[in-house]
Amino acid sequence: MVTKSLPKARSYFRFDNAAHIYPAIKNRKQPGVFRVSATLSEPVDPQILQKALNATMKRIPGFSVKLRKGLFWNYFVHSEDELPIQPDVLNPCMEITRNENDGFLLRVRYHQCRIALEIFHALADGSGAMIFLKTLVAEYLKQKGYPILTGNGVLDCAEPARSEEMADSFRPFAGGAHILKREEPRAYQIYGEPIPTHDVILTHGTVPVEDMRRLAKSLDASITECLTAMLLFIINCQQTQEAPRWLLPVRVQVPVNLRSFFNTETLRNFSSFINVGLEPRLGDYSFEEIVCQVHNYLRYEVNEKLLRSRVAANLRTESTPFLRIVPLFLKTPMIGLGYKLAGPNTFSSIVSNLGNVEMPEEMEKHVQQLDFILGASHDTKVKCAVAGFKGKLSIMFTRSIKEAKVEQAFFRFLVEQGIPVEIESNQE
Amino acid sequence: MAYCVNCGVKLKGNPRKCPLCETPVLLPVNHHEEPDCSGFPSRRDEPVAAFDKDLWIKLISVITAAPAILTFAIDYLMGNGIDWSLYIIYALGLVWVWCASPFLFKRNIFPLWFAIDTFALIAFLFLVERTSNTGNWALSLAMPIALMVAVIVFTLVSTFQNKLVRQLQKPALVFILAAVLCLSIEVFVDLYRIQLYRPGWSVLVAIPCLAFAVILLILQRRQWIVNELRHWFRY
Repeated sequence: MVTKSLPKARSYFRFDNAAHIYPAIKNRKQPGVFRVSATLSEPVDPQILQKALNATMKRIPGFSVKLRKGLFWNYFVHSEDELPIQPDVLNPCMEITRNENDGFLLRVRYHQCRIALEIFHALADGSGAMIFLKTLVAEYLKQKGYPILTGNGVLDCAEPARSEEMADSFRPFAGGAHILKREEPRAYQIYGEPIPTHDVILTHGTVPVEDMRRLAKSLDASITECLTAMLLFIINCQQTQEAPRWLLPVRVQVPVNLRSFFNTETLRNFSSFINVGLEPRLGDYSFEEIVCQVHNYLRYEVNEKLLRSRVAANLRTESTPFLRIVPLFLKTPMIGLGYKLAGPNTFSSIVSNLGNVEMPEEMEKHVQQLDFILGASHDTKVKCAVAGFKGKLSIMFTRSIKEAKVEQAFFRFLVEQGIPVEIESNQE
Repeated sequence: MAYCVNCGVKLKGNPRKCPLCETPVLLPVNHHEEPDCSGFPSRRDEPVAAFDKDLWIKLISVITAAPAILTFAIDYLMGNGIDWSLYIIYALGLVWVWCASPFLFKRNIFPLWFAIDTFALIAFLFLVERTSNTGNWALSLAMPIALMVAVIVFTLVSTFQNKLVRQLQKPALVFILAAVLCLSIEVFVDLYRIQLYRPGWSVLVAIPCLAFAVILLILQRRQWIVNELRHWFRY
């Protein structure tokens, strides 16, 4: 048994720096859950999927955990219980409650040819979840009798778990002076008629990666920069159309995968967030101007030194003596209130790009599509998740309002640029 | 496979309308009859009831029954018969009804359990009057006030629940109903005491309440103020 090879002390895991916030802000309106899914070329066999999941949970014990409340901090406890798979639903990424799943913080769902992993953000970020999903799919295909090799983010379930995969990578890589100003004035908020709490509207657009890359290249930017600029441009136009008395800055939050800058094998959270935006009070912006601004801002902000400093600033908050001695039952509402006052007000939307997902060639021919979904939130009403696979870019909008103004303008903009868009939604 | 004539996007599956602009999809051949190959299943994830109704009713029963029995026993053993403990038992009974009534039925039917709560309150007042032997105040004073409070609370909750008012109209409605409540309380008290209505303190409360309500209803007509408030309060 894989978990036996782990030292006994690893039967529990401390929260990493990014994880602390999620249990404090989690509720039905802000579940803190996201999802990655793979669509195979044949229907999923639930029995084999369950066996594959059991093997994957043993290989990656950092995900086979349950949340426990300590006196001062939350922590994870390793569990060898079986996590049952579930049929997929129309409204994914709903809150994972303590009674559900026997306390596990993830769900594995299946529907026709699709295998989906829904995961509470305190456990891992998008990259870690994608490695878990790829390992699960590879193990599933192996159990179906296909020869699948490991590599490209696919772990071998026959191998023992490695402690580096469960390591908290924030602490070793934090450094530099805490010179970053963390206060940001409030940003424009997209609003509309809210949908019921236990509901989510998904709009999934698929575009060819090559066409998207060509557009980005013509503007001398990356695909993420181009998509971020598009969202900023559209939200800014929406604000201008509303003709408010005071224009507010428009900002989009862009998660940055720190694994690209620091050498780590961790599957837990290891990302930072950068709010990139524009100030409409300075005048009108053309799309090209916004792309240029986003490109330059991200190039300035996303570098090793500033990222180290950003991580150090976050760790400093966690290490504050006052926060350390306050009991958890007081700390949780304090963190929740602090987030509510300073967090979601500072950006208008989110663009999270997982990048181009790669997997072994033998496995790739069995997988048709990969999708990434950010859970609905009634604070950030429109979110965008992007993942590239097999030459197709999956752009998934999640919204908690009835109006589809942002998505409509976004995909129409792509069509106007000559990029073919294929749309699907979970709405009738 | 169809395209939206308005957005220019290709529509996956067989949707009846474009998910972006809701333009109906009209095809020469009725493809809607084809089996649904949508990537989204039809089953919904319903919220897990974390709240155990039965446990709550048992808990509230124990919490109210224990002091009721204790009070009754002390009153019976220490005094001359049963006297003051009855008031506490009535109050605990009222607390039990108020806490348990929303969970007595399978479905949460607000008018039903609210009617039970109102009836329990009136019954409590009548029992107190009967036990204390202090005149005829329950029928002529307490019951009208209790009924008026019930009507106002019911109006407020059902108006909000059914979304009959929006944005600044909500606090405006609260101010209007507060004014109505104050005026009616004074009417009932005056009629009980002197059999004549003399406007007094309630008018002083009602005037600012109605003034606030009017201001809010005027502000509601200014869209930019509503937008600013939406930004500030994130609703």
